[in-house]
Amino acid sequence: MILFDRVSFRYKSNEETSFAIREVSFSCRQNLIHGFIGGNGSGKSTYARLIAGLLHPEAGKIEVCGLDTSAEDAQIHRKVGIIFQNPDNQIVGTTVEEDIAFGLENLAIPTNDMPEKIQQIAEEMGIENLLKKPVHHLSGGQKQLLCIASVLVMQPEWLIFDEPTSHLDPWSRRNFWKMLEILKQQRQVGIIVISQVSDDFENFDSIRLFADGDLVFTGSPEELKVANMADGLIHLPEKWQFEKLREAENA
Amino acid sequence: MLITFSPKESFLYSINPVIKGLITLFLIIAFSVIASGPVELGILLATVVIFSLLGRVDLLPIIFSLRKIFFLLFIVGLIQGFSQGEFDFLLALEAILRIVGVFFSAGIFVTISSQTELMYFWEQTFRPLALFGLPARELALVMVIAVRFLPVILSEIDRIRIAQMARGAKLSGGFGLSAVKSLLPLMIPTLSLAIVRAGDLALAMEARGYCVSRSRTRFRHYRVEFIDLLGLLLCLGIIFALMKF
Ligand SMILES: Nc1ncnc2c1ncn2[C@@H]1O[C@H](COP(=O)(O)OP(=O)(O)OP(=O)(O)O)[C@@H](O)[C@H]1O
Ligand SMILES: [Mg+2]
Repeated sequence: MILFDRVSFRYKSNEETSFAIREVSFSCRQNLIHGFIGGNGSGKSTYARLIAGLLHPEAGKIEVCGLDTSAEDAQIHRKVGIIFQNPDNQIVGTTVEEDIAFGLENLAIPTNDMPEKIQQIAEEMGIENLLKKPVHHLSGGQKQLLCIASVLVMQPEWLIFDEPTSHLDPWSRRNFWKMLEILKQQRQVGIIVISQVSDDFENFDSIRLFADGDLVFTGSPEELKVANMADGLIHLPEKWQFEKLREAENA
Repeated sequence: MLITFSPKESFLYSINPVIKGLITLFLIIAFSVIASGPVELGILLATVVIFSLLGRVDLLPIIFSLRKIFFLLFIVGLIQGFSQGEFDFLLALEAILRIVGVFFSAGIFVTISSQTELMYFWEQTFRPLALFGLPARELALVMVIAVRFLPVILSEIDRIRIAQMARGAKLSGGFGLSAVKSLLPLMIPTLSLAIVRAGDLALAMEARGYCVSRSRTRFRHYRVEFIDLLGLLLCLGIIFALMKF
């Protein structure tokens, strides 16, 4: 469970801009895929960092699995895995296995237990034959799988993806969603996916729409479809727009 | 071609990271102050090259990268050559060999040390600083991130240079101040990009539980073995032998 209780936040280095989170409250249940959507600069990544304990609220309280993110940094980093947009800026190791090991080292897992855990997670993500490879020889999709493996190996209870599908081709995108479904069912984790790709919307169990730091919509994809959100806030999937036109025609 | 770590199996690669660093340090000192005259420098450089070839180090990227400091070599050669009035070829050669030697030593170190080894190296070497109340681990982290992004920065410079040349900028010509000036427009986007990337990496490391002041276990253990000490002694021996020579 993630709980936002009247949370306020603004970037110190950036006080003159209008962007600010003002007394926002909501909660996210585990075992669901939550979609965070919104235009550029609407605050999606900021929310992700707040949940991951990388930023702390100015006022109000954020709880993840019952822990206060401002008070218990170390525990939060362990419970929340976050996969950033650009794989190149988050891979720490030189080889695939070293990168997966990085999180285990930080958890102070005994050295002897590491190889087994690394092998296991690599098999789960289908990258077991890349373990010895230098990371700069991986393709974009493989790098993303590595980032996910490196986070999953720490057994987090929440997984946050910051725009994971924006640089995947349609085919890899479908595989990505299949993988998420499997993760959700097998690992019992809560998943948050930040996305601006309208084709992703139907894969969410629940959607939150942000605009300029505010939460302006919460509901299922079905509800978003009929919600008549103001134009310009989001771009709905072509399919939905087409269906609406058809309905209007029939009416 | 960039000088980056390329994993291989050999005696050089398997030396303890701290010993690798020490040997590199000694070689750099030897090249810059101890060895004198083109003959000594030449022998030392040849020894370094032979050992790296035996250790299966791929020297090609390092040799190609010499092009990037060609201008520096040229200027230093000129200045040193003319330092006694008449142009003295031996003096010029000596100065150039010193720089090439230091460049090779550092390049080989980067080629045979993985990221994890470098991180270990900096953490160990900065550890004594903690005795003076300095934030040793934080400083080590800064070094790690800097080293991690050096290849990225270099390739970025190349990329931007090609983009600027495609738009008609003349960046390859010119000497002296004008050459430096023409590089400035490259430095600013490159540096700001590097800073953003380093910030992102630091954030990602924190998210994965890296905390400089907390103790962590290690995937690989680096013990100092007898063979490592032998390597260190061998290196010192060669340098001293050269001094007597
Ligand atoms: N580190 C920072 N310091 C200061 N201001 C920031 C920082 N990061 C983001 N901002 C500002 O905060 C606002 C929200 O940024 P955020 O990255 O959360 O948006 P986003 O919804 O993720 O956008 P995008 O879709 O472009 O990724 C923007 O106006 C941005 O300029
Ligand atoms: Mg973002």
